[in-house]
Amino acid sequence: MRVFKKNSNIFNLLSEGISEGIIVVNTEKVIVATNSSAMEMFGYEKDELIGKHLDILIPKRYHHNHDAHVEHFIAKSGKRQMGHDLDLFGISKNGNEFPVEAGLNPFELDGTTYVMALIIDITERKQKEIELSHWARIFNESLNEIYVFDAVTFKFVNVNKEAQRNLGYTMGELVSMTPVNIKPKLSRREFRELIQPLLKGDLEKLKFETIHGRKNGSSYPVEVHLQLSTIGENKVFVAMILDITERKNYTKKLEKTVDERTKQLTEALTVEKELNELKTRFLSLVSHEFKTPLSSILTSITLLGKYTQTEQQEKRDKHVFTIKKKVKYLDSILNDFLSVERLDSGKINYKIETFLLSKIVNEVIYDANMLLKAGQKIRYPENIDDIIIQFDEKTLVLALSNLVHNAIKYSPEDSVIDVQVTIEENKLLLKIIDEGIGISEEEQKHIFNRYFRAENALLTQGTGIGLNIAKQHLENLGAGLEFSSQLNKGSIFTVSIPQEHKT
Amino acid sequence: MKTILLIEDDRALRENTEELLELSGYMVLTAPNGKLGIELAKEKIPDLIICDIMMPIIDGYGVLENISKDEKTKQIPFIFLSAKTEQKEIEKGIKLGADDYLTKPFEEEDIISTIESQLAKAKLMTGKHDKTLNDHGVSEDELQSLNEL
Repeated sequence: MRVFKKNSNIFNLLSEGISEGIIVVNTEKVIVATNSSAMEMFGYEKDELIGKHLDILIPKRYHHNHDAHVEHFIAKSGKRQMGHDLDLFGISKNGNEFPVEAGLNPFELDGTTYVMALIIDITERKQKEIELSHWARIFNESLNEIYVFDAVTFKFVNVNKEAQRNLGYTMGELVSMTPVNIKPKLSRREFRELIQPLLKGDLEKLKFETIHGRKNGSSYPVEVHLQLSTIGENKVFVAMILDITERKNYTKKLEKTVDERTKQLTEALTVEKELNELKTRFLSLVSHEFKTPLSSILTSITLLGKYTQTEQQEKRDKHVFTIKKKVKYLDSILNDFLSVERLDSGKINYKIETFLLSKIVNEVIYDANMLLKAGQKIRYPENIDDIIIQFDEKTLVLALSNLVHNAIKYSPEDSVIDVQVTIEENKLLLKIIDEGIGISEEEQKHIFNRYFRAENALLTQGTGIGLNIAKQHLENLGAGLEFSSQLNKGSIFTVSIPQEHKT
Repeated sequence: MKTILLIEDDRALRENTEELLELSGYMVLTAPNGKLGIELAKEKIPDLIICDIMMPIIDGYGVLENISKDEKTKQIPFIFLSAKTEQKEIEKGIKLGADDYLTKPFEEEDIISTIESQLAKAKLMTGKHDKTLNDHGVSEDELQSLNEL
């Protein structure tokens, strides 16, 4: 105390002029001088602290540490800031602890060593630090990717952990990179244009979707929320990034589901349409293809009823024949239709048998003879008596009768229909050659399409089914049906059946 | 004896119909397609034509059009005999100028009564319009038969 007396005026003048608290202690850590800022800081009355041990201002738990600290400091006797890298606390008269920063300044006066401590209450600063670290934690621990990059150079200033993790780049790598480096779909120019409204102040926030490229070459879709901000003097952009892989996957899945359902519906609709078409065709067929033969049957029956006399047997026979013939014709059309149904539903049971070709050819030609126009003739194939084949009998009958019936239908009166059988390279070829109206070149490619009727055949009765089903059945059994035709000259239809056994 | 021209491509039906009409006392001419039918109509000028619609070479509509254009044949009563049985198809035939329309399959009575009606009507029309042929106009009998239609 004594030592300060002569300088007290100067000390007072200096110490009262600063906002830091000043506490001077001797080597015994007894307080020898204070200023009013220190009094205020620690909540003591004027001079109340003089002569008190410094420990009164330090929370008990730090006493031991502090002693060692101060001793060490005095021994080293250097001017230094305390509280660097360690938390210092003061305690006020009423027991409140508060963080402080202390600068120590040893000096000698009249041979005695003193230490002057400059104390700053850093409660507010600590509070700010806590807040800052709070935000820093949010920044770093956010599950969204957050990027801060310079508004001029675009270089990353800070990138949070999640972003580093997802991208696979370290902060060290990222500081020399820009958002363009991780956005493979955006060029620098495009990116600059995109953020222009933010720089100009036209927009406060910008949201867009793009792709992020990872260090390992893979990529993921993102939604970018971009905002202009400042760090000190520098303008920076803050980008919040949502990895929207899941959302995209969901959208894709949804799109796929919609696509699939649409496809299913379209298919169902097509099937429905086909069924309707079949129904319409069938009704039309009933009208056009059934009514004429039915008229023949009905008139034949009417006429049969009129021929009651014994000598009219010949007339009766003729009408019975007509009725038989027309019933067979109607039956064959019906079989065609049933065949379509069976082909479409896959319910076909083929039965491969070994039989004489001549048996089938005879059957087909015999039935076809009933349908011949005036003067038409079917030329029977030669040398087929010994040919034995292995095939489905019904299919062969169906195919051959369709072809022979077509030849009759589309050929004029007094023409010849030639049926030829040859064997080439283990293949049995059955050719039906007519001198009919033929098929125009443009229409040849459609001739096997179901329900297709050639332009020049429209005035002739027909369903457009026969060739279609004949070909399908034959092909199901490994056989084939081909043709060549010339308009107004005639057609040649060839059935080819692979044969291992031949005679 | 009245002459009827029957144009039908189905041989069995053509022959059966011919037979039925002959048994009913008509003289019947037949043609298997439209082209021959037109030729026969112009050559023989029948009293009535019965014609199928779906036929090769020239169809029934073509036959009607051709016959209506020719002064010699346009008066001949024309009856379609067709498997086309939908109302709109029948209307189309009538609209084109056919006098009647028979649908397949038909009963003997249908075809005979249709023929008789048309012949009676034709006789009446001829009497009305062709004064040079008949100065007396329509007879009572003819009027009577017309009213019965």
